[in-house]
Amino acid sequence: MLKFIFMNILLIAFVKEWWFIQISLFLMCFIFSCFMGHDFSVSGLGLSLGSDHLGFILIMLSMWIMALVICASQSIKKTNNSPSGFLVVNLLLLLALLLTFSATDYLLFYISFESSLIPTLILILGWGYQPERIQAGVYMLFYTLFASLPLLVSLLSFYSLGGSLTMGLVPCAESSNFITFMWYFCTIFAFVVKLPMYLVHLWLPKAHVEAPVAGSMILAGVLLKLGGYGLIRVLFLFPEVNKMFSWFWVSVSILGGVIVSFMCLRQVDIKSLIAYSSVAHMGLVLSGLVVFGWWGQTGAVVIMVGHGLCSSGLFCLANMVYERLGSRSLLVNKGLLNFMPSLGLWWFLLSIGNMAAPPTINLLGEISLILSVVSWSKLSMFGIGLLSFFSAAYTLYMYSMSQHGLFFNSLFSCCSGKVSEYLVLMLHWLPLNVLIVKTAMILPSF
Amino acid sequence: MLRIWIMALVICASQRIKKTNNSPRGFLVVNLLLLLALLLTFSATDYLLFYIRFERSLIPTLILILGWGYQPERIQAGVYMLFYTLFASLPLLVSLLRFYRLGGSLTIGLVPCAERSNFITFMWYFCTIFAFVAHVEALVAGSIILAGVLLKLGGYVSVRILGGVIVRFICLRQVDIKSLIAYSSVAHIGGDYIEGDKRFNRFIYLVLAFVLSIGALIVRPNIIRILLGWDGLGLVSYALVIFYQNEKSANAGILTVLSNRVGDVAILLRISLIFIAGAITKRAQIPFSAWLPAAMAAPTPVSALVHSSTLVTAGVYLLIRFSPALIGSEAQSVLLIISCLTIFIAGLGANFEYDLKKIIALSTLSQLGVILRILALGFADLAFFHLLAHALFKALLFICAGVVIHAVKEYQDIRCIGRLVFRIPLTRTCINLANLALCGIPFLAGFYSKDLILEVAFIRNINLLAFILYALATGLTVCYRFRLVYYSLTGLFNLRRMSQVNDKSVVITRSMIRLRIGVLALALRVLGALIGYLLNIISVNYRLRRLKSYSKVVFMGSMWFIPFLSTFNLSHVRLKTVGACM
Repeated sequence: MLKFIFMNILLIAFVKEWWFIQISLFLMCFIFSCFMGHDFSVSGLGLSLGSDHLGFILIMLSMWIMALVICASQSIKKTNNSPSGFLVVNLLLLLALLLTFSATDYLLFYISFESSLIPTLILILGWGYQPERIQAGVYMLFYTLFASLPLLVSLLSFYSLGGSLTMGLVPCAESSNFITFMWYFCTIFAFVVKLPMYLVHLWLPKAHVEAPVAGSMILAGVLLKLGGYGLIRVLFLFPEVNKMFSWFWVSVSILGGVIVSFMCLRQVDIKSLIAYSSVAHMGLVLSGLVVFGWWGQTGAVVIMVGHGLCSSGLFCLANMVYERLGSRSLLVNKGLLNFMPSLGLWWFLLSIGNMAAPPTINLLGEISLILSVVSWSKLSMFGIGLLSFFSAAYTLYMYSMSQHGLFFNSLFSCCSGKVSEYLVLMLHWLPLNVLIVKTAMILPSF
Repeated sequence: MLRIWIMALVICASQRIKKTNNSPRGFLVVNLLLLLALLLTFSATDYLLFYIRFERSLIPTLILILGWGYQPERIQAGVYMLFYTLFASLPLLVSLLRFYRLGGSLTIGLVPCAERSNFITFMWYFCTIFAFVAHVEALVAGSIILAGVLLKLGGYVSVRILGGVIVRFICLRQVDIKSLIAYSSVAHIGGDYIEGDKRFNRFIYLVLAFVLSIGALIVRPNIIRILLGWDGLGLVSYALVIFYQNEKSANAGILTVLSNRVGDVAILLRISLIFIAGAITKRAQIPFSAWLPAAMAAPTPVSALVHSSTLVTAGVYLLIRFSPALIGSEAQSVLLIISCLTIFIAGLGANFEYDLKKIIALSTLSQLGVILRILALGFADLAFFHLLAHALFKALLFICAGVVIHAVKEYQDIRCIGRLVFRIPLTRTCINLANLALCGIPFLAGFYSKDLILEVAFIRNINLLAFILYALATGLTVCYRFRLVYYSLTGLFNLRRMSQVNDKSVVITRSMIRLRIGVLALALRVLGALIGYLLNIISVNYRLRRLKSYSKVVFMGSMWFIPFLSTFNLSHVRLKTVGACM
């Protein structure tokens, strides 16, 4: 793993050259993809780093998304809005992500998990659009920090219990008394907030709306997946307690997902609509993870990858429109199909990707998650049915409102699409739809 | 039987050649040769022999077109036909030879089945299909024979060869051929209809995507993969419905796609009972039927494609596929009631509707009710039969409706388009044919399937309520059909004018002259026809009477408020919200 970390660190020295960073990130992505070992072994072991297949998938995702982020943020370079600083922050964020996904030690994992907050905060504060970004940054920081300090305590108590924090060597908490309950909640609450689950999701729409496109893309694409990844890593430490509490997580996340879907139908801001839709999707991921089934776990990983690509692409689209019209409101962004017809195709493709239409990997993930949750309890069919139905409803609402109808009258003139933009969108869409042909690449076995 | 009949018709129809003395003898010789080739083709028991004769029937056709055609363009048309078919049928030869190598025999029935669906078989399949597609393309030549019998040749071969290729899915695969045929016509017509629109390319891409997803739906014997085509159908039809940029189409599109999404979700949940609900929504059965008339906002060729031949039949297809699971379950009786109500309400609604396309859509609804009903009684094959017949004559109806609407400059109100018989006699003829076929007038396609369904239903031991609803609905069908006839034309048939579109009813009448005339069913139809015709004459004179019972008319005419019930609350809340925001 060290070679990639060094590559990342050394890239920071070249931040004066935008194109070099951009190309190098794609190159790094390519080199890393050659190290795919599927489920054979943990690759790149050493210095308490190393990645199994799950880690590999997520590192691959973060590199890919980061390369696309740089591509999509060309306007920062054009307007000369301190591009080098922007690149530095992004590369530092990628470094934190690399460390998080490749850590084999819980403490290292915790530290790098937390450290990914700082570059994100700088991104939002430094390159955001409106004064409200300060509030959004504070929200994000305190929500996540508040939840994750107990995680540190819980990890330390694991250390005192078993004498090691290396993943796989930590003993499970078998008993199910009150203390273990507390311990359990302390441990997974950080990840649940990060995911985010309904009830603790308030920071997400704010952060998304205020962040620049890079921040939104990386938040939706990778940072939310940190929560899912963490859950996969720690949940099995509490087999008994988790079994007793899975009903709680499943009901909150599924019903919360339905409520969030309703909220999506009321949004007039494109970005916050997409942000809320992530909450609904991540709810499904959470419920798949806590029911402790093989189908649920793999389905969750697949959805994480699919949602990362898809909602990152949607944020990218929203930003392209924002750059032209200067507004994210659905009341202004109407009838885009009339003057951006080719972009309309991408809107359609990514929207239906978001509602899990075939042949996206979202569909694959959703099928496995639904199977797993329904086989856990037939009652959940009701909620899942509503969730799935309304995901189509709000996605098509967004598509229809933005692409259809009469376009905004006071529009002056704008370009209807550039090749570089199409390229970015295509690089989002292609893996989303092509990976289904070789699902072994994104299906880790646990 | 059919080809001899057609040939006789052809010779009758071509009296003019004799009159103008345009070498009548040569004409007769060529025709007889063609007849011979066709007879040999159909009686071949060996695929190779069959292939040779199949190809040979091309030559007289070519001579016919070149020798007795009317315009200089006939050369081009002949070349088109020849090369299209030859180009397409050479792969067929290759494929047949491969069969020979595989099994050592080419006798029909002894050829080994290609059970594996690997890539080669796949290619193979397409090689063989391509010939028939080309026949559809060859319609450029536009002769009666080509339309009447050669096309049928395609269908015949498809039955024979597909029977060889994949025995288990033979009948279900046929849907594929039908939809391909229907598609090519739709694409032709659609090309005319929407020509000049700047978004023509987008339209064609969408139609192609639609056909692709039909293909995906049909060739996959696996429920998850079925979902692939199923979802694709819903989404592409959504994109087609919102093709025109106005609020009405946006609303209709959302209504369409969300109704269909209920089905998608149900399939996702994959529980058998709910699974049936999935098929119901796509098939536009009663609680979910509002979307079908709403989807009429789409361009006309789209509505033809979407509604008649494919989208709604996709649901039936699934139900037929899974009909063994249906038999004996409780869902059967639920289906029965739902279907009877659908037929009745849709029939009633169509009688009060003035929009041409909506009338046709409502009649589609009621026909699908018929199909579902026979399925609920446990006769999947009859359902399938009617499904095919219905797909063809309903596609014809929609295409004709498109022509009519285009001709009268986008008026869809049938009160505005009367007496068209003098202006577009050909189209009217086709509409009449399709109409009559839909009513089940003897010797047209609808007769065979519908009559059989009615008879089977009547000899079964069923609920009295269902029976009454059904009988009434059958009358209603004919009633609104004749209402359409009354409004848009009152004239004679012009049977001498057969056309490209016309061939469809011929294609479907090929099957089975083995049914009896159901006396009860026939009586009902006559009654319905009389009522439909007379009542509407009356209603013109007493228009004010109608206003008096306005509320009743609205109630019955709007499918018992189902569109309002299913969408009012959503849009109401939404509108209020936006109003508050403004």
